[in-house]
Amino acid sequence: MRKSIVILLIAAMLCTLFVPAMAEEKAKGWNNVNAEGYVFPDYSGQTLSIMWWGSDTRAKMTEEVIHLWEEKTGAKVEFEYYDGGTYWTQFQAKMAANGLTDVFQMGNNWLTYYDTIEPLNAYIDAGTIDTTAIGPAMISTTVNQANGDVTGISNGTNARCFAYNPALFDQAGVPYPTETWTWDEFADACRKIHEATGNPAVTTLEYNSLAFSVFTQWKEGSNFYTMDGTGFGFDGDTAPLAYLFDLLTTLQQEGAIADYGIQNEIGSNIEADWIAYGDSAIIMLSSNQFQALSNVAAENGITLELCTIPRVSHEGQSGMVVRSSQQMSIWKGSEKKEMAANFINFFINSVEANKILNCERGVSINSDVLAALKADTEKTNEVTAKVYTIIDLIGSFPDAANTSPAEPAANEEISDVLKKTYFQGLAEGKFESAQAAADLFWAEAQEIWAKHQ
Amino acid sequence: MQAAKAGRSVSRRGSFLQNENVVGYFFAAPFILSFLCLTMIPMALSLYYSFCNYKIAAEPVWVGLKNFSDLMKDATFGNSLLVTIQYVIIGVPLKLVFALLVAMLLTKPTRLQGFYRAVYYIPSLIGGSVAVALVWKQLFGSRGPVVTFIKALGVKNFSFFGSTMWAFAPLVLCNAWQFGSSMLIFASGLKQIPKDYYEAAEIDGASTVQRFFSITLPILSPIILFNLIMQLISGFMTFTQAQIITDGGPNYATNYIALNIFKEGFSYQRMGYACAQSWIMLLIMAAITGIIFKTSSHWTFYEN
Repeated sequence: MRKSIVILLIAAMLCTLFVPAMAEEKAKGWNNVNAEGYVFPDYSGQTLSIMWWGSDTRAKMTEEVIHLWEEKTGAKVEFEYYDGGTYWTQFQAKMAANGLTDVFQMGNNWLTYYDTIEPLNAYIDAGTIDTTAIGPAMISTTVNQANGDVTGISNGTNARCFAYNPALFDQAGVPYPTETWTWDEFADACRKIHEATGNPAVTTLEYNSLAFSVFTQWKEGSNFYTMDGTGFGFDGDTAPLAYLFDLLTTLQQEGAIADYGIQNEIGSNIEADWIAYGDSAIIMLSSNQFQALSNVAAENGITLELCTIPRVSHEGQSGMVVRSSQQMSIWKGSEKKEMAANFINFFINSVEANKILNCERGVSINSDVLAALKADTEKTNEVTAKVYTIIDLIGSFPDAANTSPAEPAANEEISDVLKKTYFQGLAEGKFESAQAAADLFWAEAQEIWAKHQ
Repeated sequence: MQAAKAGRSVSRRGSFLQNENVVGYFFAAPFILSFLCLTMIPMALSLYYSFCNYKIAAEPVWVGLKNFSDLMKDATFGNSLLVTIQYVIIGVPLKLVFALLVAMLLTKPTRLQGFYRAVYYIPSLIGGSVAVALVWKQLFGSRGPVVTFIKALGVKNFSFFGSTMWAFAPLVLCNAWQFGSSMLIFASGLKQIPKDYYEAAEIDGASTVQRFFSITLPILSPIILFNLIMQLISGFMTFTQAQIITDGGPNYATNYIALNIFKEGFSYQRMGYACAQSWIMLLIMAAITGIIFKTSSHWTFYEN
């Protein structure tokens, strides 16, 4: 009797040793949606909910992919989408009501909403979310470095950059932006274009991220936030901010940059920017938004180009970084996490789906998908090629690896205060000087940081 | 008769369901229940949270009066109180004057009276909606007809939403435009004024203006009081237009208190602090309403 029990126990132990090994063998790419003869899971009669933000272009593409998945799995997907601003209001309301969607689009501000996000480590380890064609560096863009939690799967990479309308540069007799164009050249271009057209040359700028870029440009190894987002990454010298305050406020007062009213009217609706209608010449955007913007511009007979963010000096740092544009995350409270993981797996990895999405959310992180898209001349048209080129260019800047993409929890409030109290206050003449405003901002930013700890 | 008698005899027997009070409570139940669940409980919770450090979906931590002492030092909060009061002081009288004016125009009995009243009431029906805010954003926007007109008059670089001085104007006008409910209440009040007062005054040689100030206004004063209080309260709570049209800007010029509370609570994740702000707002509103009630005996006139 006893002996048999011991044998049984040993056998059981041996089995547990084998099981993970066998599971691992299964894990390697078993859920590869691109594999020949892949059988989709059957979700007939079940529903999955999902929400995202973005342009109308994005909404159309995403809907199409959702219908494709519905067809393949029999599932029903309830979806909702908003523009970038409204999205967070909705998200916060749903969060407060404990009723988020199973899958949601999440930004680099995921630390702010950390409690709502299901770590995806288990789904990646089990192979439900197939990462065999995704490089580890791409996975790590969405990992919480503090504990290793995978907070989502990146929808692609992007970079904040500028786009411009060459026709208006020609009209004003200004040379096109170069790879290393400077703020002085930018200011000169804005003034001349404003003179030639009578309109502001720029109607959309992301003030906070520009300010953070200038901190990086100012001094090698310096960042506004540290790389991992655990604190401030510069020595307290506010000169870079004063420099940008002064430059942009002066341009705005001259009318070369649109006032805050116009900028607020456009808001986060990139397709409404004046550049798409031939009225303004430069816009700041995320590289993946270029498709949607170009679509509207093309309807008006306008061809746009992408360029870098201006620098302090030609030889200086770029202050630019290639980062995860946004990610798909699973809600911690979802009851359909397995199904949600399967949806994300399809959304990120399927060549068929991504031929529809066509990197509009960012350059795909799946090497198979990207290769398939680039080989497809119909999909890689002039517009997408420009996006690939600028991402490759920014990735090749030596300092891009040391530019912080972090958005810590305090960032939302710090950015808001920077824009509304300081940039807008300066325009109203509420501060003695740009330097005084920069110093006051720095003091307040530290206070806000302390409140969020 | 028979049935009524039978009913009474049943209730005398004390059957619970036949008790008149029970019937009353039964019919009032939907209101009482929703008042308790949707108003009282959230209010009690928000009072508790206002003494806590509370983030949505996290455990509240008791901090005593810290939120309130922080508020005293908060310049953004002070500014939003100020701009809210400015909005109320300009917006509410404007709306009431508008409502009274239209109500008086519409008391003349014409065939189309009902139609006109309905038409003027429509803006109030769609009042707080996002759609209206979007329309006003276009109307007063940098390329809207109003700004185009002002620029055509020769004013250079004019912008409503880009200027801290003028950004409030479209919001106040949008609010005044939704005068329908006040107008209806004024209209019914005007109807109550006996015709003979006016006839007597006319015989005594009173002018239209004199008649308005000596008859219409005094008799209407209790209704003005009611409208004033209602509009004050809704003025203090203004939110949608400021959020959609200006997002509180520029430089906090339209950062009304309700919007500020929303930002603190949802965007910055400081729900406890936001709750404290809303209680301060409640106290201020209660104080102002109280003062108006107390002084109203001096300026309202009741016939009996």
